[in-house]
Amino acid sequence: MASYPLQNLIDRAETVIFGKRREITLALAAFLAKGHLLIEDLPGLGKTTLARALASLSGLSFSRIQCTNDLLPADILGVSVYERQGGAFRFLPGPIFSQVLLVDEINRATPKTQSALLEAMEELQVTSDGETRALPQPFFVIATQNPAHHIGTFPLPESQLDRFAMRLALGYPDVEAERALLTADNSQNRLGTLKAMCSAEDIFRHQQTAQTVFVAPALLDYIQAILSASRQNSHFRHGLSPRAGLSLLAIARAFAYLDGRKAVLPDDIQAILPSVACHRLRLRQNDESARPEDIEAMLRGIPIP
Amino acid sequence: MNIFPKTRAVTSGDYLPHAEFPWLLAVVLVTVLPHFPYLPYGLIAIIVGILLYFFLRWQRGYRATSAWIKVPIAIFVGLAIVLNYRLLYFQNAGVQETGVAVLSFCMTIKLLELKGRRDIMVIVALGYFLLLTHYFYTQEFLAGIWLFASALVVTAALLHLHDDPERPVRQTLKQASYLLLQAIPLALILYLLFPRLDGPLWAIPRGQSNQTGLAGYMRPGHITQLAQSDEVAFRAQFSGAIPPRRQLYWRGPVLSQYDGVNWIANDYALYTPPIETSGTPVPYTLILEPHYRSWLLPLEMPTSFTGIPGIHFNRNGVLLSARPISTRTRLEFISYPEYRMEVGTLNSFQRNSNLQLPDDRNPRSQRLAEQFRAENPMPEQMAARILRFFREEPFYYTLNPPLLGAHAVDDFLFSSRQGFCEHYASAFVVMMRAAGIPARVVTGYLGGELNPVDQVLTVRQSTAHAWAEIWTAENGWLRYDPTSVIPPERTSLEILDQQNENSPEFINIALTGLSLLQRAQYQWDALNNRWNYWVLGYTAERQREYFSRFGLVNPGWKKIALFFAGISFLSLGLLAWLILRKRVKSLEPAWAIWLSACEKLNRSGIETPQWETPLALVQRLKTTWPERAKLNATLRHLARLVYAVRYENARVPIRLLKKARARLEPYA
Repeated sequence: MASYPLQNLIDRAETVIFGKRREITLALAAFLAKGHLLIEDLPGLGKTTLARALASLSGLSFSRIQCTNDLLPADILGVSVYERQGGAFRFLPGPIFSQVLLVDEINRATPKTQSALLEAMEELQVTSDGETRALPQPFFVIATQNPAHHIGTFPLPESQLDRFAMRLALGYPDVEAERALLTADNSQNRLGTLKAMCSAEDIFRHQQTAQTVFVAPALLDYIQAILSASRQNSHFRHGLSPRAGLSLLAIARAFAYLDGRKAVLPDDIQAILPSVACHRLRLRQNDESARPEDIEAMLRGIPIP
Repeated sequence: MNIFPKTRAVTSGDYLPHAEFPWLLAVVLVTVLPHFPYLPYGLIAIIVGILLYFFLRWQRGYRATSAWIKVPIAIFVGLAIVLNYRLLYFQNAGVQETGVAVLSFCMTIKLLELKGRRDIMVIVALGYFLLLTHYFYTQEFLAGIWLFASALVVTAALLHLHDDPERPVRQTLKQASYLLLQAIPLALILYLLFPRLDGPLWAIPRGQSNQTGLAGYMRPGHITQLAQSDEVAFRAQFSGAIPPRRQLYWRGPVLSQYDGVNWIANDYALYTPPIETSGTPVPYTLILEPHYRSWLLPLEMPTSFTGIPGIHFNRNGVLLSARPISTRTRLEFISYPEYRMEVGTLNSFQRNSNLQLPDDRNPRSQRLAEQFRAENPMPEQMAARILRFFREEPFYYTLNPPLLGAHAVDDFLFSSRQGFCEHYASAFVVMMRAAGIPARVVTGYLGGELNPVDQVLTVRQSTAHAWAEIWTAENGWLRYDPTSVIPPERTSLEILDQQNENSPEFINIALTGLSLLQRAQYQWDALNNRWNYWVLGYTAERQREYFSRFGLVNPGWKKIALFFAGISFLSLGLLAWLILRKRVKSLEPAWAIWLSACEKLNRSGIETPQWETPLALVQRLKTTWPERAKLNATLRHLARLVYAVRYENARVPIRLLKKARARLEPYA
């Protein structure tokens, strides 16, 4: 019998976010693939709860940035203050110096702040006052954003979106889950009861093992076929980047790993492709990001190798 | 219910696959036909009859022949074989022939009692065995090729018996050849390392009387027609320059005892005559054809000899092996064309036996010899006088001499004056002895023909020769070839052809000047020489020599077995690694099976879009067609196998996938 790594963690998270097991698993897969996660949905659907639940269950240090349009880069990265006693500047690290960082409503921050954050995400280090400081490991950013057309938002450009390995939409809960949600205790209270179920070392180990999952040459062919199809598809403004391909591969491995398998299946790739590709592809007709239906239509043109 | 419509139960013996009949016939033909030249005519007729009868029965719906027909035939043939071979058997020969005859007959008559697959297996297994018996007759290169082809047919028949009967013949043959080729490395290891015996297990002098070659005795005047045989006596390969033809005297038995009719070799005493050598050594390899005698036929005069154990000289300077040469034997020699043997003194036994003459025979020759001796006191002068006599008197060289009477030498010297080497050598020695000079007859071979392709000298039975040796105190034994003094114009025509070739030096024939046929002949000979040298010349002694290169000097059987096991283990491991590695790479068959299964589903109205993963398809069918539970379960099983092979790097035998696909059939 195959063991399912981190299943207890997923089970526990499900007691906080009802009926969203699939999304929780996908978010965890992104985490194990060392990718960052963007959650996009309407307010009040549990974005923040998911992020906080993942952070506290995995036993990692957590901090949260609530973005507003007057948020400055220094508010995230940290500032150097002059200390009179020592006669020197001392760096006060900003909230980014934590292992799980929740960036709420990232599209309300100004482009300047956004890019400062995303640069740190990509390089895993912060440079301020000419000094480079490494971010703690593992480092996982969960950013949430409201759908683009809300008032007072600065939509993330494609180049920035590409840095998120995965985008999830939580969606409304189904009837049962909604009922459970209504009858249960206050969600904030329940969040408080969550205890760490593993350590940073455990997460690190899981990340390592997940990337040893076998990918058959036939599936590499499949991934390449998908990338090439996205680039030739006339519905999209542009195709998927090589970085998207890497993300797809890494997340597919992590996803198979969470399912207790030692090899990636084509089913894994089909399952995660919308989450990995949608936010990176923009429809030609309305300049909005692609919907899962568009991705599925594209997949229908690619035979399984 | 027929779940396995295209696969066949391997064990059931209850039905007879008629599709195998052509293969069966092929197996019997390739294994029995080559024995025909060695089988008695009656048996051949019976075998052909059985084959025809089998063919007719097959065309009209096969039924096993009743015992009323089979048993009498079997008893009759059994008795006939016993009677036919009994004579040979009691001569301690022909054991293999009897066995082969019985086997060939059994193999053929088995065709008349086929009841099930088991009988077919018996024929195929017998076929492999009968193939092997070809080596009783010949171990030539061509036989090797023929046997390989036959083994291919038998293996293909075996494969066909276990395979889809509709598989094309070409594919079956291809697979069979793969199997055989894979076996070659193992065969090579076995060949090189399996402990060899010094002689064959069946070291029975087979058909000894039929062998042409030197006999070890000589009766000049008793045969009027010398058997001219093209058979090869031996081949020689020189590592350096080839000596001139006039030095190519290959020394065989020395005949010193004369009773007036026969020259006999009575010289089996172990004693090495002292030999002094000078000049340049001539190293060469000799590949001796089996002649079932002990003499080794080196170039005069060998000083170093290796190849088989127990090589020794007898007191007449003849090189002998411990046992008769019953297989093709490879020997390494170093000879010195310039030598002196037994210089100084001859012991009384040697002297007496080489002066011995029957008193009451050949009085005229003895008188003539005494007369010559009176004129020529020195032995060399005496010899020259006799040679001059041969040259000046009208002596003729012919292969068809007239019969001679009781005083054979007198008849030859004074009346017939026609003969070949035996007559001349015999007359020369008799006269020398009569003159009181120790002399003897040496038999052997002279010359040889050179293959320009590989510079191998082939010596045939037709070049068998006899010459003489006389002894002088100063020079020991000196060679005199009285035949060589007969001038060409007194040589019969059929010999002249040969003598044209016998120019004193070998002319290096340019291949380009030869006809295509001659060239092909030389090339073929060269190929056979290589084969003889490398394959058949690999004897127990040579094996020991190779072992000693690996540090195994005179190893016991335990050491050899260990060495052998080690090498086998290593090479099998290497093979396994190569095969398994290849298996991981070749995943395509699994996918092809899945796609063909999809086609089956399509035909029964189930859509299988190419983009849908196998498991997704299984899931979809489960929800849309829940009532077809068996199909869904089988398909799920197949999908799991395909996944395992194609995506999970698992090693699943393709057979299982084929089985699962076949099981889909009744439902799809």
